[in-house]
Amino acid sequence: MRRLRRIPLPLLAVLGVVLVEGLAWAFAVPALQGADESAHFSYVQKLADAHVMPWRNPDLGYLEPAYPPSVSTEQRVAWTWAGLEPLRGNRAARPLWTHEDERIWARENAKLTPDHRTDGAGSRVVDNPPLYYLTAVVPYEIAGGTFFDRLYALRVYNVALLLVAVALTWLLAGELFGRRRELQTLAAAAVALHPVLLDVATRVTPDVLLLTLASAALYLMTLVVRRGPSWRRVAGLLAVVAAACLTQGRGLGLVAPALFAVGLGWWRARGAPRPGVLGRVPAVVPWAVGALVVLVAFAAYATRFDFGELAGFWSYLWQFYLPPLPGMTDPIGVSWDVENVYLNRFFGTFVQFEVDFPPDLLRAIRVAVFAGLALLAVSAWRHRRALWARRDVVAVLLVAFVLSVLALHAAAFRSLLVNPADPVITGRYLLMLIPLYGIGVAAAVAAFPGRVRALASGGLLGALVLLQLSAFGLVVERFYA
Amino acid sequence: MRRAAIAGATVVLVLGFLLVVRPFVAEQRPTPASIPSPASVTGLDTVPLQKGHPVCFTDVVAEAHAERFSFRVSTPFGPTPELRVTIRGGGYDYTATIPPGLQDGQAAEAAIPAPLRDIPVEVCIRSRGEPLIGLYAANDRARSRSTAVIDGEDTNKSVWFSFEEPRWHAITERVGLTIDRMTVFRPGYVTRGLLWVLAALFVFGVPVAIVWAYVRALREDGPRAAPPLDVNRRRSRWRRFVD
Repeated sequence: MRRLRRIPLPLLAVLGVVLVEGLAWAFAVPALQGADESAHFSYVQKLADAHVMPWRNPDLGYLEPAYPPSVSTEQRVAWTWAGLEPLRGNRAARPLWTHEDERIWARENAKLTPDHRTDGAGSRVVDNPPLYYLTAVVPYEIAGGTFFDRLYALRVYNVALLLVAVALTWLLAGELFGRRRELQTLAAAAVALHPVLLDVATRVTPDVLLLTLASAALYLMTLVVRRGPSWRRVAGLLAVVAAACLTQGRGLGLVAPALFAVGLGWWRARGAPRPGVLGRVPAVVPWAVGALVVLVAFAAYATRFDFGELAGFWSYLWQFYLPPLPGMTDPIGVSWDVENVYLNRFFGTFVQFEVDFPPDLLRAIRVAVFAGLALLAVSAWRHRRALWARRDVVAVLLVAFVLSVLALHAAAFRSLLVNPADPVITGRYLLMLIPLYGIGVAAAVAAFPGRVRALASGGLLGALVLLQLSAFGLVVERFYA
Repeated sequence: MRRAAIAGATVVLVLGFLLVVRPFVAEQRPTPASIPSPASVTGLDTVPLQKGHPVCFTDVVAEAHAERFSFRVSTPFGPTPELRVTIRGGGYDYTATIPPGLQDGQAAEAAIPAPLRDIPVEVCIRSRGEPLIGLYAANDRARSRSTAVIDGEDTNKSVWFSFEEPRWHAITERVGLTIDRMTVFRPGYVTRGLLWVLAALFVFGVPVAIVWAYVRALREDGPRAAPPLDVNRRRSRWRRFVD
């Protein structure tokens, strides 16, 4: 209780908001309606019930998650008899919502034996590293009971992870803004009210553990550069990054930023170089070499070691964000650009993408995003002295953002070389950097002085609450109206 | 500062509730009572319906609000003959007649008396005339548990079939019913009471808590953040507001 009292009240209030929203999203959306949710549940089920690590099936290869043999008979019975599979991504369908429907499912479910929980063949999701699924075994086992008891226990577990991610955003903002409660609260609240985050994080998915670990990694990076690279901090950072890599392949994007933070922290702690050969080397050289190594590594990974594709990669990267330069050919793959990822998918698509914000609202969000970026620039200029005093933290967060996004693009281009029909990169993938979104929102509002800032912040929080309620309302309408 | 924050939030929230939330929740919409077998996701398919060979399907739940049913017909050889739809089970037994003359792709609809409670029923659709017609059916992942059976043989397709309420409703008129429906296929602890509390906290508690958190943060920052004022310096009205 005493410890609880030590938690700042504004943070407690924001965490209370996350808990309410998280549970509401988790319980309102019918089972298995998240992206690949059935496949993620299958993975946990295989670990918990069959006590085996799922691997690529030697006879069947990688199955699509929607292919029935990829999941257990128990889950297939729920697909059919609880009406979950006809509902998935199908706007013409509604959940089976009477207790008679439950009885019909229970009648069929009662015919199953324990073996029917363990016979799923697995899908391409078994390619994911196992950490999330291993941790999810705990709530799965505690819940026991029916298929639905266990599935919703995993969703509630994810809500708990989301609480940790929001608390870490608060701490991270404290490192950047010097523990100004106002800006910490804004950063945490912006994350807590992000509509797509709540939708994604309250399904069974490893993404929520990834974004929690990424938040922890970002926080530890700032500690390493601000307070020095003690072995505990460095070990903690490396452990968290390793855990992120063991949760989802996208966690690899944190490796280079973490190394940069350790290098920067070590360089700053070490002070001026001692006289000698190394002392005569300009400081920029090791950093330039490091940057070159990282870029070459990304390029090699993205092009599958075929450097002939390098021009195509840069062309893809350029045209993802900007209009083509003269002489540039069309980028590989389908038309898919910054607006799809950073706007439509990051803010406005839900469930299986069959629910989205109306175009007018997306246009308003777009205007707000551009206004926010302009305010961010004004804020940076206005607080340039404070920023300069914290330039190490700013540098680490910027590098983390750029390198993580670059890693996503490298993985996307690598995949496009094999399958040009799937753009791979989507707004959901940016959620691992959600604390930076919160910090960006708080920093943009800091462009305003005194009372104007309070007025604008109040208005912004009101608008974010409305956005959250709108998203939830659209999802409820899709399933129940 | 704190009053400015509360004012900013209140203005946006009140305007948002009046201009966005209220019209959305008050809009009248068609309301399905239950959709035992939804439309396909990836393609069209049909189940043949001939005189003397009824199409039947079981494990359909007729919800207590159901006062109409609907399915869609495919008529490549001209308008439909008269159709009879029998809904039977759990003490409920009703046969509806659909007059001839439906065109290709049209919905066949008829009124039925609402069941006293939600009941599992069997639905049988009979053709009273000669031309072969089809009933639109799902043969993809939208296929439901209620697959169509003809002469004892399972077609492995589910006829697109829904029960509807007779009139449209607003979301606000259906909050209690929606919360009831959210307890189905959920763990035992997800009760109506829990969902009502969550709904109230979401709609009213979240806006209050977020604004309170910000105002409280301003208060905690207050003494540290207040800039020293030079009382000898003349300040404009704008400056006085801003500071």
